[in-house]
Amino acid sequence: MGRMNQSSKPPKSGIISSPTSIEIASAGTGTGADPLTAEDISRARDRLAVAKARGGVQSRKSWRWMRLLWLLAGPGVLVFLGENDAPSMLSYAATGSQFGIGFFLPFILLTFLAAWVVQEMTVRLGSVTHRGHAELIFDRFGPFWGFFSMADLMLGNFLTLVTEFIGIRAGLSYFGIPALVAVGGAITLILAVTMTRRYWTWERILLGLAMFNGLFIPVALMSHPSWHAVGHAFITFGPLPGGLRSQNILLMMADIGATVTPWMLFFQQGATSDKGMQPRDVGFGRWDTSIGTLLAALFGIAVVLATVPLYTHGISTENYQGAQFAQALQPYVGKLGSSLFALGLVEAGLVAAISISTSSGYAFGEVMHHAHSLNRSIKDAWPFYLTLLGSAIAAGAIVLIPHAPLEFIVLIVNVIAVLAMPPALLFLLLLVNDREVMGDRVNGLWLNIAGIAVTVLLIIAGLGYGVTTLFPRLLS
Amino acid sequence: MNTDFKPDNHNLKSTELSRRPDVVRSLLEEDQLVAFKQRTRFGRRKFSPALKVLLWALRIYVIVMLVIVIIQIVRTLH
Repeated sequence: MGRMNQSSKPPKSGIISSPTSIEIASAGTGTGADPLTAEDISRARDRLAVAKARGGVQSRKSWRWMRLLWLLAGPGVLVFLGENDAPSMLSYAATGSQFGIGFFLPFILLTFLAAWVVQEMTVRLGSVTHRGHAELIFDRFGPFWGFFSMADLMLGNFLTLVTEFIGIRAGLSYFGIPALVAVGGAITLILAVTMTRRYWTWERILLGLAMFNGLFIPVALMSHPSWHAVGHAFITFGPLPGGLRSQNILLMMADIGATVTPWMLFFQQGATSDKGMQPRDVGFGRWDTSIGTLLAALFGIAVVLATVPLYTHGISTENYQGAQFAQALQPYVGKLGSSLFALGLVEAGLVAAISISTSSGYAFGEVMHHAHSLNRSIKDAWPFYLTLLGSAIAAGAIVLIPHAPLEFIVLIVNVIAVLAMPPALLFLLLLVNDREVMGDRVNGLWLNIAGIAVTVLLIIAGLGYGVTTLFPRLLS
Repeated sequence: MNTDFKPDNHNLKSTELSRRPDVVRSLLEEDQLVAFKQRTRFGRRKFSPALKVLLWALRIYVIVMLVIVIIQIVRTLH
């Protein structure tokens, strides 16, 4: 059967445990005497299931592979379906209603492929180091750069959380549910899901919720898109009405921001580590990330197709908010279709709110060198839970404030995500190429080329946005 | 040190793990243990001059772009 826990990596030479380093002091006499905690035992329960699946000599290989995929999938699917959040779905809705079927369909797919390149690196980082992203940045680059990174993350996460609650409120307002009930209900659900005190349980519940992101598919089918036009768009990347004007670049930025954001790095690495994944699981981690990428791309494209009738019928949606899309679609997809659209917005906001607040919790707990696991109790990991729940509650509360500048927040959130990515990607590339951290699991040449290409693309997108903002007539 | 996960442990129930620390240690890698992670850190890496320039350049890029975002928002809201 072989060793079930054998690491395929050399010892991590970057780890310091000498008395001169800045670690928390321990009276341990050696690694063999490290005491076990409840978190270790919870994690070992999940690993026992994996070990049994790997060693299942009675079952067929294909069943074993499926069973292992079931056990090891989670962070990748969650991060991508969480990224299909309320503002992202509204960006896609705006895209479909303003441009119809054309350039943006294959463009959205490309943005998700770019995101896959980035997220795959976090799978390896989490599986090999068993540490979170914020912790690694602080350890390797120091608190100065660490706090910059945290500031980007916390600002972006909090603004994004506000937009998730905007989406939840908007989606439920379609059904006549008041804002207070919508926001309160969402926060209650977030509390309930988070209080499982088992990563595995939390993950399975969230995966179940995330599957409702697929609600946009029946809506897309109900809108009766021209499949010929869809095929033409994917082959020719056209048409792009208006060409490279500033409005189109802004929408491209919003669509990029809908798929590549800093919180995804912190979440997937944290979740991979919390799940207890090991280097030999990286292959399944890639499958998990790939499935998440494809599902999210499919659902995102479905939203674009769902709102094409608004483009076809010349309905202006430039200032539309969440529920207005659902209402405007009703003549074309029926009451059922528009209800599904509104429900999809609610799901998008809810799953993202849980994922994003968890990424904040992971990052804060790592930086505080305190327990930060969904396998821990609130008492043990209070900074983690306080950040997770506190940020969600604060964001929800802001949405309820009369005359709060919500439109301002919605406008900037995706753009800020794109702008904050290049430094985040630089840290990621440095970490994943660091032999003292990754051993022999560092990036290969092609992954480095792809990672650098994504970073450069994001910088160019940001610069393009800047130029068209400062000189709006340049590309008009 | 970690020991092999033995075949007869396949009949082990997950609820019994709290009484089997040997099995827990065999299922987890050494650096997955909470206590190990608490008493160890990855050390600080050395920064080359080029890396420092790149880090600062990207940081300045973010700050400049944030200013531009604010300009865009002010224009849009007016």
